[in-house]
Amino acid sequence: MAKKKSGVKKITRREFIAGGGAVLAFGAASNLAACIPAATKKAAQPTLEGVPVSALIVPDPNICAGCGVCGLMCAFYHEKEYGHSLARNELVRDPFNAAYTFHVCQQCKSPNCYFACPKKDVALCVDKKTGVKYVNTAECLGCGSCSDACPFTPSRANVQPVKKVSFKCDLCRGRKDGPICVEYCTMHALRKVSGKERG
Amino acid sequence: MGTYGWTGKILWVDLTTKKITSVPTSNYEPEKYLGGVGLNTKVFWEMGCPTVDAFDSDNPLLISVGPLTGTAGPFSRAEVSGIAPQSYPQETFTYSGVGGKIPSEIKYAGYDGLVIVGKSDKPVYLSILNDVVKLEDAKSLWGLDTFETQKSLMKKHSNAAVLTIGPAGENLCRVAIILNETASAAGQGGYGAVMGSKNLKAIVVKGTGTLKVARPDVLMKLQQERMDAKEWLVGGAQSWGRYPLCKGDIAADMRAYHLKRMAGCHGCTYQCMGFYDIPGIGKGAQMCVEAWYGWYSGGSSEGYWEGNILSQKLGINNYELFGIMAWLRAVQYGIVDKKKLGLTSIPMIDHAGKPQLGGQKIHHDFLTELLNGMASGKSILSKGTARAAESLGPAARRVFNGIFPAWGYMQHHIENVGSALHWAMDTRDPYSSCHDYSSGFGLFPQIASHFGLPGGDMAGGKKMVYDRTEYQTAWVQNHQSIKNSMPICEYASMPYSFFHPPAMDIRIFESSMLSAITGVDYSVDKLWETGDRIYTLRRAVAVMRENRTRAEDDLSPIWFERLVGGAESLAAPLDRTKWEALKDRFYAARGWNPTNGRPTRAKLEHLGMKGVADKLQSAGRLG
Repeated sequence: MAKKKSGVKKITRREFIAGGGAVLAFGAASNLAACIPAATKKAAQPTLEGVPVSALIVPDPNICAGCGVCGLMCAFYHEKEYGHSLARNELVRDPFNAAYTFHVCQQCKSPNCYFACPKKDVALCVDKKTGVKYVNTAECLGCGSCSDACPFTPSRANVQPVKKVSFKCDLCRGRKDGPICVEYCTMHALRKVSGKERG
Repeated sequence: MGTYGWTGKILWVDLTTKKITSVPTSNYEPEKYLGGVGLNTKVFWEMGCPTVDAFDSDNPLLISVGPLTGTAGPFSRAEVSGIAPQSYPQETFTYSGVGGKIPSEIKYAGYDGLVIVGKSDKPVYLSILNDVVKLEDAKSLWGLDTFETQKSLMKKHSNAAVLTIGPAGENLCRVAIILNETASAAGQGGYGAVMGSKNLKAIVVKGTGTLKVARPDVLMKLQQERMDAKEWLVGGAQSWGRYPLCKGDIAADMRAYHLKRMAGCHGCTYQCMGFYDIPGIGKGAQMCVEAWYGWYSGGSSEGYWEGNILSQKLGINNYELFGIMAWLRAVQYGIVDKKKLGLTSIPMIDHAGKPQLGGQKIHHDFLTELLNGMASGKSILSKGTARAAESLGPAARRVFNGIFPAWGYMQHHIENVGSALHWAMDTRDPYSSCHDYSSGFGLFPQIASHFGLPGGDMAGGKKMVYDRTEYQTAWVQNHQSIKNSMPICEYASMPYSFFHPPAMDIRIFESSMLSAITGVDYSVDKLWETGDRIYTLRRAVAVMRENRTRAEDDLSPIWFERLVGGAESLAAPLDRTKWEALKDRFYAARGWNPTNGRPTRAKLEHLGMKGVADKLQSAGRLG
């Protein structure tokens, strides 16, 4: 049997599906399930009781032009600073194939991040009305438990390098016009999908 | 200098000694020169305007971003400057802008600009990861095309942004570009060859820093107003990307069968480019000049597309290729033997009348021969049309002069007297940041009159208007300098952009954005004075380095003799008497001496440039 080349990472089926999310979704933009990536790590067992299913941001990889306004406006709205390192979403760009993969918090029904938080309901909270999981930065310890627990790759919750607090998509809760990334996506490649539609 | 808008550091790389340092941006009065072209010109002035040749190791390669770069909007632009090998008859100190992803990354990495001096003894590339800056071996990259080089470096440096040259730059082709991704290039000037002469294959940048702005709430309001007014929106601005600017049948075919999606620069709300794929030929973006071969492929989309993809991969200036195709009529007239250009067949001449001029293979053979000849440095066209025409005799030069009005650059919208004057005064084709004439004042007299300028001379047929045209030209020169220094993309910065007088016009928008981001209060007048200062400093450099005088401020004599320059040209030949009188008034309006065209001490001191006046005086070149 031929020996595997060293340095080549073995790709599991799960990783393959997650990485190829954009490709699989190509030509089936209206198929919501195809636009939502699969988790790459083990999902949490417990579920949230009495909390509605949260909305989430879903990209249409057929339309995205890869400009990254989503990340810029996200960082600016939340932190009053520009720079993709402060964005709650991440755009992985392949400009030679015009393939752009948008990563954002999937607002899990069984949120690993929430259950992993040592100060859950104080630092990592769930909005009881909307089901949105969000970080209360004033209370966050910056321990990174949520980031480690996130079942997706790359992790959808991260610790800010300067402020040492966790940050993740909170769907711009409290913003009158909804998520700023959706509003400023002039290509209309991003959509806020309601919890009801998500099922 | 405040803490906002500018990062405060300019990276200084000496390729000869391999020494990498940084200098404070505050050394160069950024509040007075902003960034981009303004900052580049100021750095060059402080270096003493070296009179070396473009390929001399002492020619600095300057790449600056500006206070607006890195924020959301059409601001991801960098300006490349240095002594340009494309300019003719003399190499000039000039500039070329580039968009794409890399300008924002330079800013996030923490730099207002890069200064690259000296020459490496072997091929290298510059890698910048925030404050970790290294010169790395580029032996394995030398010879690769621009797409391969970028893919290789993006893989190695976790998806960083890359500015690179292709074989054309390596082989000192005087019309070589520096490319980022696809279709974002510093195209004019031939700066790719300057990189090649320094043995610098690429610049890789990844920045994870962030930018604070002085007045975030004001900035958010300004952006939100543009969104709410539906001005900050894709749509009309995409039309050239969506319908390639070439023959209609090709545009329709490309749109229907090959357009994959829209594309554009980082953080921009317009996304003006189209991304196309023709299997077997290649994938990439196109906006405007990428369509150069679409006028000469006889309706063949494949021919058109191969022209764009191959020129980008080899790293050749598409706008110059437009000029070369127009100039090839010299072959048609029997003035130039195509063999001297290294060409076996030219489809539009040798296969005229045949369907698609002979089919895809004919185009493929022609494009391969032409572009490889230029990129390898073997064809005389690799020196640019200007130098090729010069070596081929007076008749070839005469054809050249009708197409290339000044400085060795192809005609570009010289459609009224104001734009002709602007061309005569510049150091390159200025038009890529001067559509204010053809898309603004020329067509909309009410907008021109809002700015107190003559206008409407292109509405209902073109007219030759000399009266008060000096003010139109001076206004656009100031605006050109502001656009290239803030920086803001030409597409978002026409005089009619955001036009709601008296609440908002482009001057108010630009000064408000700059004030909100930097925290320095730029009134409209202060911003325009900044533009005036930057343009005047460019002039001072030309006077100091190139001994520029009034005599050189001209177009080729043929432009005064008969109608030349194609469809996007003047209504009548220029009138020499009226032209010289216009120049007199223009120098007076700018505060330059009408006798020699040099800036006066009074004007320089008014702009806070006493040091510049002193240096010009000691060189005996003050106006």
